[in-house]
Amino acid sequence: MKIVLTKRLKVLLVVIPATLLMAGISAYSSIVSHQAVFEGCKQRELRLAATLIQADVQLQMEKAAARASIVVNLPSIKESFRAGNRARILDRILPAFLIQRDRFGVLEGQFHLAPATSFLRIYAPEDGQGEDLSSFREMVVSANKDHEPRKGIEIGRQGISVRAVDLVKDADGYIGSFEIGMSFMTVLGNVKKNTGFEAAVFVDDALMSSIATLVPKPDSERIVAGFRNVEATDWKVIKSLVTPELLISATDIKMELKTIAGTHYGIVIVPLLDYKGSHIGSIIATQEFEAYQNQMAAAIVRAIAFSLLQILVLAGIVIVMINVMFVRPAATTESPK
Amino acid sequence: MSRRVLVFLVLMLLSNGTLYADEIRMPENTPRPLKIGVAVFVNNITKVNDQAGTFEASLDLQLRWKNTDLAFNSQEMGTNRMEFDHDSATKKLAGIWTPALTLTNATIQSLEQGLFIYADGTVVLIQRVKGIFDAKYRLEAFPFDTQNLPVHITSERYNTNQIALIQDQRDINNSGLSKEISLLSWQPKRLSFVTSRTRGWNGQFFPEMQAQIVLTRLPAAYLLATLMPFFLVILIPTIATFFIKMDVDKRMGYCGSSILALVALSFTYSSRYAMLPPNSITMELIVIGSGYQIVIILLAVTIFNPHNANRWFSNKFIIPEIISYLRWAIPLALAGLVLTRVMLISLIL
Repeated sequence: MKIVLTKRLKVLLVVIPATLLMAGISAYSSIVSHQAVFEGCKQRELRLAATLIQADVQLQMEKAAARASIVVNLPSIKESFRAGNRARILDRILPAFLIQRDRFGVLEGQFHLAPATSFLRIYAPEDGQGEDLSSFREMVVSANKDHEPRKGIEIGRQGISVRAVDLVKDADGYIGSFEIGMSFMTVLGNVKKNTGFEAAVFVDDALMSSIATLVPKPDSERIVAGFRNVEATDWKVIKSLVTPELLISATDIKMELKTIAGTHYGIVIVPLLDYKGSHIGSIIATQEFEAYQNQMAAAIVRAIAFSLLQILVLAGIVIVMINVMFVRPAATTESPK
Repeated sequence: MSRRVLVFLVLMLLSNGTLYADEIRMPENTPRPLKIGVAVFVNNITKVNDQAGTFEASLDLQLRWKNTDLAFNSQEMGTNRMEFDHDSATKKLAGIWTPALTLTNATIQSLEQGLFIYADGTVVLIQRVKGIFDAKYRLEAFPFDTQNLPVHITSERYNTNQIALIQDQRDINNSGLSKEISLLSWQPKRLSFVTSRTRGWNGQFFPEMQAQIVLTRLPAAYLLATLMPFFLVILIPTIATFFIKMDVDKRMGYCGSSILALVALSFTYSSRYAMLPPNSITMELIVIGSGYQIVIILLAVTIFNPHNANRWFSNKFIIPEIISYLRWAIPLALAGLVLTRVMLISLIL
C-alpha cells in the first residue's frame, strides 16, 4: 500500500504541476496577446489624435492663407495701402474682421511694410504703429524679402497664432504684406469635438514674456517647467496630468500612458515648431482610457477562469484515473495480507 | 359669408401680431450664432429612482451671453454690475432678450432666478431649478453600474444659426457637483458635458447641451442581497447530493424543493429589480442556478443512483472515485462560474 501511495504521489507530483504549468502558459499567452491588442488600440488612438492635431494646424494655416489672400486682392485695400491711409483700410475691413474674430477664431490681422514694420493692427489700431518687428517676426521678414507668401506658427505681440502672410501688390508693384493669425483654440476645439480628447497649448514662457507684450501674464499655476499654458479646452483636466518632465521631454511626437487615482489616461504630446522649425512648446491632448482598462481586466478574468477550469477538469480526470487504475486495486490486493 | 371670412382673417392677423409682439428680438449688434456660455452646478441630488427612470435634483443653471444694447457706463452707474433677484429679475427678464433655453427632461418643482448685467453688456442669468428629471438608466452592469444622469438643455426657439451653446474655461470652472451631495448606495463622481443638436419639426436644427451627472452605484449591499439567497437555494441540493448519503427519491425531493425556491427567487428578482435588462446579473444567476439544478438532477439519477451506476460501469472503483472528485469539483466550478460572471459584469462600462 505504501509503495502504491508513493507511486501515486509521484504521478500526481508530475501531472499536477504539468497541468498547472500548461494552464499557466495558456493564461499568460492569452493575457499577453490581449495586452498587445489593447496597447495597439491605445497607441492607434493616440496616433490618430496626434495626426488630427497636425492636420488641423495645417488646415488653420490654409484658412489663414485664404483669408489673407482675399484681403490682399481687394482693390480698395491695395489703393488705401498704397496711399498709406490706415483709416480707410480700417473702415473697409474692420466690420468684416470683427465677425471673423467673433465667429471664426481669427485672432490677428496686420499690415506690414518691408522688412517687418507694423503698419496697421486691425484689432488694435492704436498699438505699435511703425514698430519694427523684424527681431522676432521672421515670417514677415522672409515674406517681404523674398516676395512670397508664408505660412507657419509664430509668436507675435498678441501671442501665438497659426499664421499666414500674403503680399499686397498693385500695378505699380509691391506695397507690403498682410497677415492673418488664427487662434489655437479652434484647433483644440476641433480635437475635442472629433476625438473627445481634452487639449492644451504650452509655449515657452520666456519667449511669450519677451515677445507677446500685449498679452497679460497668466496665473502662476499655468506656467509649468518654463512653458506657459496659452489655451486649454479644460484646464482642470490638463493641470492634473501635465508634469514638468512631460513638457521638457517633448521634442518629438510622444505618446504616454499614465495612471492617476486608478484611472488610465492616454496622453499625446505634439511638439510645437515655429516657422523656422524651432521647438517653442507643445500641444498636449489627453483622454481617459477606462474602456481599454476594463476590457483588459475582463480579458485577464476570462483567461484565468478558463485556466482554472482546465486545471479542474484535467487534474480531476488524472486523479480519478490514477485512483481507479492503480491505488484502489492495489489497496484491495494488499489489504487481505 | 364674406364678413365671417374677413373677421376670421382679422383675428388670425391679430393673433399673429400678438405673438410677434411678445417675442423680443435677438440683440442686433452681436455675431451669429450668438454664443451662450452654459454652466451647471448640481447642489443636491435627493433621489435616484432607477425603477421609474427618474432622479430628483436641485441645480444652478447659469447662462451667459453678450448683448451690447444693455451695456452701460460703469462710472455713471457707480458699479460695473447690475444685480436683479427674484421679482426684479423676473420683471427685468420680461423686458430683455433671453435665449429661452428649456430643460426638456425636467418636471420643474421650483424655479428661482437671478440676473447680472455687466457694464460691457454681458448678461448672466442664473436659474436655481429643483425638479424631477427623466433619465434612461443603463443597467447591464448592475450592481456595478455607472450612470450618466442627463440634464438636457435645449433651445426650442432659436436654431443653430442663431445661437450656439458653448463652454469656455469660465463655464467649466463654474460647473460641477457640490461636495455636500450624499446619496444612499450611490457615489457622485463628476459632471461632464456633451454638445449636440436636435432636429425640430420644421427640419431646422436646434442646439442642445447635455450636462451628465456621473454616479457610481455602491455594489456591496446589492451583491449581498442578490447572491446570498441564490447560494442558500443552491446549498440544499448540493449538501443533499454530495455530502449526505440518502435514497434517490429523497434526494430528488430536495432538488424539487430547491427548483421551486429558485423559481420563487426568479420572481422576487423580477419584482425587486423590474428595471433590469434580460442580460443582467439576476437573470444570469437564475440561468446558472437552473443549469446547476439540471446537473444535480442528472448526477442524482446517474452516478449517485447505485442501481444505474453499477449497471453502466463494470469497474467497481470508478463510481466512488468520480463521486469523491465531483464532491469538491462541482461546487468549486459553480463558485468559480458565479465569481467570473460577477467580475465580468463589474467590468462592463
